[in-house]
Amino acid sequence: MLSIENQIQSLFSPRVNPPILSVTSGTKIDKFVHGFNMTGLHVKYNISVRRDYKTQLTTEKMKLAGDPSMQHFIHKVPMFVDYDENDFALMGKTIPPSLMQDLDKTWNSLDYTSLESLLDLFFLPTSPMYLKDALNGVICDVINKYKNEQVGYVLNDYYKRERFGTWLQTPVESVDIYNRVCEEFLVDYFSRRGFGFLHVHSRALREDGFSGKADLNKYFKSNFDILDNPLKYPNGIVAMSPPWGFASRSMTESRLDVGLNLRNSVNSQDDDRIMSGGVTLDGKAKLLGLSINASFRKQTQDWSSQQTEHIRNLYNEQLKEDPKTPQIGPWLRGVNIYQRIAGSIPQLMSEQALGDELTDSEKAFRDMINVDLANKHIWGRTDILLKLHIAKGNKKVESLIDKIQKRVPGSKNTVPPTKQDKSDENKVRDFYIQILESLFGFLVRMKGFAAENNFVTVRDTLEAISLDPILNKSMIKDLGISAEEYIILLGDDENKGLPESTMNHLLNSMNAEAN
Amino acid sequence: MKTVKNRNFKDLPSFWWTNDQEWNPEKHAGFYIMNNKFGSTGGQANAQELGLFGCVVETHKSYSKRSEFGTFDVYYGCVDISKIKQTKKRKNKQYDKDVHEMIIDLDPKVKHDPANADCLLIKTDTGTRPLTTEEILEYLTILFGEGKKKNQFPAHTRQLEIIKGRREFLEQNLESDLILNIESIHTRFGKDKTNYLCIQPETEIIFDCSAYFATFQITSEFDPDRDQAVETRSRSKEEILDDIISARHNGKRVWVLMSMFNDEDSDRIELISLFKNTNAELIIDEVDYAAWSKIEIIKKVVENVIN
Repeated sequence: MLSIENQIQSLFSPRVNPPILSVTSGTKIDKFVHGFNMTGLHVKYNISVRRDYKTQLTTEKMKLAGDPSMQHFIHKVPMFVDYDENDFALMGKTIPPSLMQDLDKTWNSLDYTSLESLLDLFFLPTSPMYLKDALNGVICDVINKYKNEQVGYVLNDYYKRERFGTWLQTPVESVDIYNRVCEEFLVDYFSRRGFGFLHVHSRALREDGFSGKADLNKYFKSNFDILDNPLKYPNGIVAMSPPWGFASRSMTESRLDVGLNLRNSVNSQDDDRIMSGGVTLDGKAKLLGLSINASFRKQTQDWSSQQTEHIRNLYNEQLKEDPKTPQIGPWLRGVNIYQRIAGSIPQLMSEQALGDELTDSEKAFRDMINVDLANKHIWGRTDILLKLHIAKGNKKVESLIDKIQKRVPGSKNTVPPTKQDKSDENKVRDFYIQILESLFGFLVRMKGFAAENNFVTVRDTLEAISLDPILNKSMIKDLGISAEEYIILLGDDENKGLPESTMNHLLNSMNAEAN
Repeated sequence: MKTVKNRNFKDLPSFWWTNDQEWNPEKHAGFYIMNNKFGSTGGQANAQELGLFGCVVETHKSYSKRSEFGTFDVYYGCVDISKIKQTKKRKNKQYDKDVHEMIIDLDPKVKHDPANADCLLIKTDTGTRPLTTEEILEYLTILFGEGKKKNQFPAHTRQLEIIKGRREFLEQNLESDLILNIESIHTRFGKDKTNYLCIQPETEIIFDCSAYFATFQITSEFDPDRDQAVETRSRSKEEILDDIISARHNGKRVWVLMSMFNDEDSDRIELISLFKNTNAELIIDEVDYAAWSKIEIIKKVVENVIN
């Protein structure tokens, strides 16, 4: 009997190709790349890396240009919605205080009165943000926008939607709370509003013999079929995303038209649930997936910052695919972003407005300096911040970081900011700006290296620096911290740190201006 | 009989009523012929990406569900658009509807099925019944001439681009210790099945590290004459090796279905190291969700497949 090794040798041909590792993803891949770079494998072995990026916008452009193979592709339309007390007044209601503060708490505390008000904003026909009106308005606007494109849309094929599907995204993370909010409140609520309500019940899944992702999709589709009853549910179906996000990736369904995000943060994985082309609930052709992010209009901040970030992200994505992408270019024509200021109807942003967001480098710098003073991820990393080269003695630095940390909500030593006198306030503010300026100032040092290597993100640039011992050493000498430590400050999806998208944008702007 | 799954028609037979060898969505209309029906591939994502827009958009509601999980006898048809008589303006280039009209014009006994847009009925002495697949093919032969039967359906142009990109990069870097393909391609860009299609012809064993959550999707793309899956969940190294050896004895390309989520004890790493002199590929799909936090495992896997 041959040994295992000998059997393998006799059964497999000798190696002619190097081993190949293919990593693929529809959306982000940065975390993997970062992690892989940190393994030291690049130093130990000769690894050839091939990168291939293709974005949604590439496909949008191809469709608009009349590419026949993109015939069934649908447009992605984000809408940023601010609401305020006036919107509720129009429905004859008063806005519950919780909706002015924290959507996540409202859901997880099972505050059904507030939740009903929140949902009414989108599901009550008298609301200024009634989803059916918003969907039809967007369809009409997009078709008008593309009337001169080769794609040749006919309004009546898509317009006057009566029944539609909504993918409701909430911050509910516990299965128990998910089941309770569904059973105690949402089934009845949506039934009253003329919508069938679909929730993915973990018990029902088990009873149905659920055994994997494919089964989940089958379960989801069959439940959609059951609820697809125009007499009982004349307005359509609302499906609520389950708390186990990764599994819900397979629940993509052409009958979903609107993604409604009613939580504090955005989960990029949920964006795709509505992006399947095909038949709709009311038998119309599907033109687009409408993704709505909603929140209360705060006194000083509204969705404009999220819009800007979204546009800059699109630009950075395009750059990754093609580093020669112009800042304002034909790629913008496939971008459909709606802004909805409280008390008004949603407006499609013009190409001019989109372009202005991109070309305003000063605004980008201001946006960077506006990093939240309450950001736990950045201000919690004293180990890194203390190493930064700034014009302060280390003792003072330590004391000032301590003061900033005390302002971070939830930190154990939190004290109300009022206890600081004006001079302390200014010191903290000055120091805070010095830290950020020192970090952002390093972009100027990075830009040449980034341009030379076709890197379009700060993260990619830092990762490359981290792999080169000489460059990394030089960075520590100049800035005080290593590329790895800088990457830690950038954060990730769970712990948002420095404003990466804006920093990428500024890095690219500097390179564009240099060229 | 072939299992029809959204992404599984690589080896489905197709009839070509054209002199061209390659699919060209500008010149050709496509449709399916299945179980007495002749119509679109509506709802099937890959068919859309392939540009099979001879296909209806408004598929009847249960079709996609049944086609996803059932087993049917399916052919794809590809015909020169110039041979199709356009009867009226149709949205989304629904050539199959025009071909329906041509058949109805050809034989007055044939008419539409009011209950199913993809079905044609024929009036016989004993009543009305759907046209059989054979009858549909006979009508198409009268209309378009003898069709050439092919067993391979062509890859989409965008899939071909990715396949070509991977191959060219490999050829330029044959001296490397490892080729790392990093692809961030949004889902509607025709990337379906590329991890399957892009396996290099020399490769004899594939370690798919994203398999536990996608076993169905991965194995549904297999060519049963060529590929064999080897499960690893809850199995010993010896059991896995037995399966691998048995698959190779049968001349199969081996897909070892692994995971990055469950604990991969040293057995798995030892197992991989046994194949370090073979032509091996590693696949991790949806890396940011499956693997980024398990980077130490990836490191060990890579080290053991290189050294």
